[in-house]
Amino acid sequence: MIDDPTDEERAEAEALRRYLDGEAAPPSAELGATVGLLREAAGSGPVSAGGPGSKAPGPAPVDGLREARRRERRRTTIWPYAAPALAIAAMLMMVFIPPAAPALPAGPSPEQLGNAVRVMAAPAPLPERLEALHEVAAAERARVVAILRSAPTDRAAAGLSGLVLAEKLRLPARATVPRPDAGVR
Amino acid sequence: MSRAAVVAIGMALILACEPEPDGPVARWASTVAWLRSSADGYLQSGAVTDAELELRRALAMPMPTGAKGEGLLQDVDFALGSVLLLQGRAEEALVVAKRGLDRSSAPSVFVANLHALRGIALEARGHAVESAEAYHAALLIHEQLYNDALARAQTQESPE
Repeated sequence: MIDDPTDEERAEAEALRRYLDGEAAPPSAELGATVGLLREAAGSGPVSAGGPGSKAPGPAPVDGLREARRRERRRTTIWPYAAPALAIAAMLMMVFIPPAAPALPAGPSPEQLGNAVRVMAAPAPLPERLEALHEVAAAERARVVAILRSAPTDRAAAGLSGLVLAEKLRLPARATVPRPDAGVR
Repeated sequence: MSRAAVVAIGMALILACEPEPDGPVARWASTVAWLRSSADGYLQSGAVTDAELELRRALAMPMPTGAKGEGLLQDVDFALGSVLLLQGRAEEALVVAKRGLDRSSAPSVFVANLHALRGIALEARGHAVESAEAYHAALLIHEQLYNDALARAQTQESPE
């Protein structure tokens, strides 16, 4: 559904029609420059066909003017190209730029290590000595596990998922996993 | 419901909420770490036998090729040796400590702990001299790591 032309558009179309029909001189350089576009938009038929007072079928000069202006706008703006370009750039960034790696745990602190040294050097009871050592080990373990967990993905070689699931669900792994030192002693 | 069961259910829930790691190495490390934590939970609740079982299961997990997870296994060895010591099984703890030390000799917290474990076990067996040597080895590594950590902390405080 095409909107009714405005008074300005009517005046421009009428002036153009009169010019194209040889009834008047070019009304302005700007309108004269749109003649090529108007011919292209209107096809090979009469340029003014469908206009006010014309009985020939075809697009009205007002429509031709609108089409010409639309094309002009399209040439002078980058918006129709900017949106898909931005979308493609975003997709490329998501594919090629890896997410920021989480910071690794720092490992045992000087205080924890110092405490382990102090407890080891002193005649402390067994549970106290072990507790200090376990504390240091826990901090180091967090760091080591984080490093191992960030190992490169190798889905093709993955063969432990079923075992992990069994571990999670506490399936009869106790019965199926052999003791590592079975038969050693 | 026993405290051990509550601990086990809690650990399972925590693990279930964690995103699944990607590769076999990551999965292996996560599972071993989980079993190690589960054993700690059992220990805190006094279920020493269950803790030992969890640690043996962790050691039975096949380590993926090229995982470089000897440190993690040494930590499990240390935990297992500790459990054995708490049960008065010093001879077995000694075997476990030796196995852990055979995995790697690179100075680390885990190796130092295994030396300390060996020292405690030897002390319990009445081998005073060997025990002192093992303690000394542990102290040397812990001291070196302590100095390194201290130097690192000072560098971070004053980067200029």
